[in-house]
Amino acid sequence: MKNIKTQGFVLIDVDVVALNNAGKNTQSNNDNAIATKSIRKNGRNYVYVSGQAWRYWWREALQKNAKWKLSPIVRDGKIAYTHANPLEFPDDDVFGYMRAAKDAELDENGEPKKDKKGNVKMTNVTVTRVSPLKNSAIISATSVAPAQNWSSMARQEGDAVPYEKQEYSAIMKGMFSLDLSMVGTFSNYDRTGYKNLSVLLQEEALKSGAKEIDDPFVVDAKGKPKKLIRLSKDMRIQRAGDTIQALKVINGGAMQTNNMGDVTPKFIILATTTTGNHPFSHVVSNRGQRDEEMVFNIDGLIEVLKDYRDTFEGTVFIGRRSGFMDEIAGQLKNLETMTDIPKVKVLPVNEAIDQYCEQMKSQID
Amino acid sequence: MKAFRIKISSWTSSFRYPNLISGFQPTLEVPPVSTVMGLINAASGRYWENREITLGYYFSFKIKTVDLETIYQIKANDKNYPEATVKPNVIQREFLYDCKLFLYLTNEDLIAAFRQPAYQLLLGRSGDLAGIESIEKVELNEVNNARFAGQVVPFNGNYLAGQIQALPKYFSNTIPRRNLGTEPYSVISCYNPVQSPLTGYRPDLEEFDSDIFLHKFEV
Repeated sequence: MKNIKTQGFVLIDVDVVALNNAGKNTQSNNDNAIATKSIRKNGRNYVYVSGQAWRYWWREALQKNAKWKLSPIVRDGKIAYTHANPLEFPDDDVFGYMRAAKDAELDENGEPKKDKKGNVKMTNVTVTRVSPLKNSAIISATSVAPAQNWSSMARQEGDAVPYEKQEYSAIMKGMFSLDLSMVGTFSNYDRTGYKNLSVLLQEEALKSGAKEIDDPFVVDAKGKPKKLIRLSKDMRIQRAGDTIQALKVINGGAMQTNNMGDVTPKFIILATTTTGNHPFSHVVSNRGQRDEEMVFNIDGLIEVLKDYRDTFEGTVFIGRRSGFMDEIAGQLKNLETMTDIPKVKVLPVNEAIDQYCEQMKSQID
Repeated sequence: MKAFRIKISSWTSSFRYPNLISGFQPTLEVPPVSTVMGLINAASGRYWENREITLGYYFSFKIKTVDLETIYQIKANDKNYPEATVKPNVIQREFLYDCKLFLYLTNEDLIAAFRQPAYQLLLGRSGDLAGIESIEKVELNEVNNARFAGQVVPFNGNYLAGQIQALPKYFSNTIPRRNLGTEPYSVISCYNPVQSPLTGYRPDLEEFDSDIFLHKFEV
């Protein structure tokens, strides 16, 4: 079993948006003023979108565009029943969960206990799965001063209701990491985060064609590797591919009606590594009196490509939308000719995603 | 003393405050020892057991701020199993921005793990992706009257000033996880250095102004 991850870095470029809001703006004199989420550092303001919000957009994009059947939450009055079935629902698989489930009660020999009628006795268990897809928050690459937009809600009758919201234009950076070896691969150990499946679900998986493979990291008391349950290769390729492809069409963010913003990447780096280390966190920085100008750190990118050369598998794909950061087009293209770094291919964004996904098919074992 | 320094950075971090379950969620300004042990386990891809660990660290951040987050609260029944009742709620959660962790280790096996981490590294919660910036050999020189910042120091026997919290050293490998070796610690932020009568270690490769407290324990 190979240990491989997709490491991704994206830049989005948005104009006059309010992607993720932070509730009441206490700085405003206006009663109903909304603030956008921002971080103040060294007296400068950086707007951001929570990691949680980005995940929400991602999940929606998979449902709408990749036709993913999302794990349903069934509501019955005040009670909501949730599924934790990563066999049937790909979002449970890729995004993880921590949920209550029913499971067979086991006797000392590990066999399910039966009641007088011969039915399997059930008990409550907690199943958890650490998300194979991890993502950062999306943070503006430069300092940004949001504008206070004074708006009003007005109809033909009655008084207009004024309100305020913050809006900004920014280039924002985000990174993510998808654990390709864990997509469609489940453990069932009595450890927090590792009990992915109930006993019943595990049996169902094995019956419907899932395979048992050796865990490369975890051994039992006798020193033998423990077993992981793995879905078919096709299904794992499909799920991992869908997840990356969704970036092409991802949309979301607050105030879409008034401030629709395009949150698909305008720049992307996609690479497969054999380690969990994310190498691309420092490829953009800023300069200027108020850190207002974004700088692409091409030397920094070359440095990590060199430093971690042994850990990259296959080609590193860099996608750039024309019109965005045209000034570095030449420098990026130069990377393709360098010999002391892994092979690099510079393409338009969607083409980079497609070719990366194609490469990923041959890398997933 | 010879040691290795692993420099790890993340954009954001958040370290759970013990004892607070609902409402405003503050963050500790320094990760507890158990969090760092978790990071070591993530890098090695396995749970380290029955061995003597020596580690020291320094954690810094640029700014602390507050995020809004939707959480899903699940009720537990009298047997402490979750019921199928889920209630969404919006909470405020503090987090740290622009973070760096300098981790000092002497055990070669553990250092090897950081050259090729098995799982993704996180400084805090699942959204706090982190990356390794460098791994370097350093010399730790013993100093008296050490000055500590950006780390936790066991309270008992040392009695340093700073915020005092009951923090675990490690977590068990079971469901549910149990705290192992919880004891009071002085949590000393990188912004509030403490002059102590203790012995500390001063690394020769310094990017910050603090001595290092070495935690020694068996797991």
